[in-house]
Amino acid sequence: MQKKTLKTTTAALAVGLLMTSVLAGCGSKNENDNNGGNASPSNANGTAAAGEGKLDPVELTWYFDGTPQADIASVEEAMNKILKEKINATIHLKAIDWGNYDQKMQLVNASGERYDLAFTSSWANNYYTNVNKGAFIALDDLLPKYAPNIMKTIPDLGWNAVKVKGSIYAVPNYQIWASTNGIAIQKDVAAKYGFDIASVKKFTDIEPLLASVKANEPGLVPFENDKGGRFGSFNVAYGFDSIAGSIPGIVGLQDTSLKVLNQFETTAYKEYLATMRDWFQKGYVRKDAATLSDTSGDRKAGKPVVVTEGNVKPGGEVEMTGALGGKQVVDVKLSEPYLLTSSIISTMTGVSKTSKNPERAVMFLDLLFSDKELFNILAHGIEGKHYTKVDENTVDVIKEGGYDPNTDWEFGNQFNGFYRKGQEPGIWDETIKINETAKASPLLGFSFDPTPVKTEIAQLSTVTSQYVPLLDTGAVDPDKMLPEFVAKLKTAGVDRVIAEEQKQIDAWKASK
Amino acid sequence: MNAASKLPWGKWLTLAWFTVFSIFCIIPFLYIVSISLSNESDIANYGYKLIPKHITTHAYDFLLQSPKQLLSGYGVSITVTVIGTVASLLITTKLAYALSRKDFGGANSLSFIVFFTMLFSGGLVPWYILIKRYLQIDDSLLVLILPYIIMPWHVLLMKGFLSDIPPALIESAKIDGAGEWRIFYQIILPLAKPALATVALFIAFIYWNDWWLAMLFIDNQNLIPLQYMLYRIMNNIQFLSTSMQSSNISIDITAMPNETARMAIAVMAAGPILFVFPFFQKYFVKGLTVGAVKG
Repeated sequence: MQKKTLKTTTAALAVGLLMTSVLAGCGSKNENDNNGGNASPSNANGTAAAGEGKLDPVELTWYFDGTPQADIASVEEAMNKILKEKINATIHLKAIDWGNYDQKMQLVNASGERYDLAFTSSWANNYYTNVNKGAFIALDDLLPKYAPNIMKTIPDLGWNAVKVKGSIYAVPNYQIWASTNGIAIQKDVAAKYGFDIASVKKFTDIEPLLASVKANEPGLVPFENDKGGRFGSFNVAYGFDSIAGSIPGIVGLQDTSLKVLNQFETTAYKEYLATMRDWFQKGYVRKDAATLSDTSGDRKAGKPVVVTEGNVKPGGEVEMTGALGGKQVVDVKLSEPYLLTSSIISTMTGVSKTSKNPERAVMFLDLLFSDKELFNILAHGIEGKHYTKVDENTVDVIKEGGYDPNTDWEFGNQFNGFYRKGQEPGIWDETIKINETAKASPLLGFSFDPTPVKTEIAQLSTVTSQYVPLLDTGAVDPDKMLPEFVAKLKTAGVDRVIAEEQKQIDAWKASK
Repeated sequence: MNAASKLPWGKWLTLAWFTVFSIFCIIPFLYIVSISLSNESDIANYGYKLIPKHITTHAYDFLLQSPKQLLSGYGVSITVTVIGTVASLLITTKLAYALSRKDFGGANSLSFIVFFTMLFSGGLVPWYILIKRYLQIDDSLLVLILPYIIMPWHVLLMKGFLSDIPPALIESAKIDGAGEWRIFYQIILPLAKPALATVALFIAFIYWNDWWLAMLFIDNQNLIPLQYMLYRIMNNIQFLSTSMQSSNISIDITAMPNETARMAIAVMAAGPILFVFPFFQKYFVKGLTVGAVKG
């Protein structure tokens, strides 16, 4: 009897250990690979001779983020027909689901699997992590040689934004780059209560509308908020550029001395929290906002009257109207458009260190910038099979066609593409104009290397993920909780992180 | 404080504890069923309700409108579970039987090897490299089956069961002229039925509920098992709703299935295994206690 119990205990223990070892395997991987350092572009020159004259046939593999499409085969086939002729290459498209992309790419990189191109950004398959691990090759020499169209299209500011330690490791896709904070307001609701949308200059101005909605429309949510909070959506409006996402550390957009501040200690944050607390107590946001992560249900039902826009941009109203189940919205700008590093690096393509043919991969990218036909096949599929043409520049998706990735911003130069039905013709030109006229953040081109303060950052994110949902939704009293939050940040080492950020920024400024 | 009044107290407590526990297990499932039968707008307006305000099969209709993917998901899941369970059970039992034989000299060291893999593993990346680069079985049905074919835990469990079969039985069979194969198939297996059923159920659960292998190794959309389909939908929605807020990109989440449809898929994924369970239950109780008392 006793022996058996012992056996089961041992077995249970063993299972536990097994699990920890598997988990440890996942966790430690990042550190192990860090010593890879920066990739050298050594193999870039070796094959340079192949650039002109006859090219050997090669196969290219491209990993990107997106829902896998049923009829990817015929799209590949159509693309290959063009590619064969122009650069004697065939492309293999590997779309990985949004939620799994990070993990999959970590494994692909860690295992040294061969691939040529990969989508990378600030929010998926993190660019800086990849560069630090040496997963991408530097493109400084390849681009001028093999990608004249990319060089022509992308403005210099764009290259500055993607440079890490002076080298380019990925090609930014050309889409909306400027970042403009703002909110979207349901038009009909505002009209019903005689609210003048044009009067909104800062986001607190919408309060009268929220009050009328709360009083008269029990079925609607006056202001959308969730556990992510909304402070990040108002960064530019408050005049900040954040250094590393939600990690503490911001710089004033007007501040040429580039002094790093902790955003959670600013008066702007205090005022913001006071507003949020007030709105929460008046019932303008959902009571469970602090634990809410998925607002898509509310959105589809058209419930939120005021939502924050990730970015106010041409065509954004149409998108938001679609997201809100067809309820017409009006966008209100709350800031000037600014070019931020984070807004430019939100969609890029890198060339893998494991690629056998980096120069052909770059040529392929270049074609996506110049060849409209190729781009449109990738972005929209094949005419008659996946879409029908509404007019010369607008397409309508065939629902059962089996190909509708709807991520044209991921595939090179978005402005090469057709408009989707519902998008207003001309928004590409408007977008380009905004990109060209937007002011540049003083931090544009700076990238923070988190390695020296890794431990502190891990501790800080534990603290922020504990307090931000509560404070930012107004669920708790900021007078009591904010000092506690700030104190916890201090214990977690926020000052060391800020000092490190300042040090790196100063060094970066001096090198300019 | 006599024993008679103490016992019912304890029993009552046990009963209450298990009742509460069962309720905690059942209620979330009932919620899933209820949501899958609700109107989407009811959920948005009144929140989750244990009994739907208006019962509708809209979510299921929506799923069955384009059943191709769902059917192929079912097909893959069922194929993998059936083949995987049979193959895994056979190999596990054979290995366990060899380990349980006291006249097999290498039993102890072999047992240790099996046990060792429970404590230490090569880690995720080497495993990924092995499958992708050396075995090259990615993107096939085989990759959904092979990695789980021998689970050390199952082998040890099975070995525990089989060790209780008296060696004298095997010896007498031998004396009667039976070969090793015959002993295994005609004497050991019938005796081990409860154990087989228990382990088979464990294995079937693992295969049926797995999405991890598919996530890592399957690109072909026709080889996606049901659980991975479900996992993908949930995971995507969560990822997009957290990462979109701050990024300069636009992704159309309205194309994702809505809440009721997600729950309907969950019900459909859980369904078959619910029906399988009662068939095993008879053996299951017996199987868990086999080997607990030595004769």
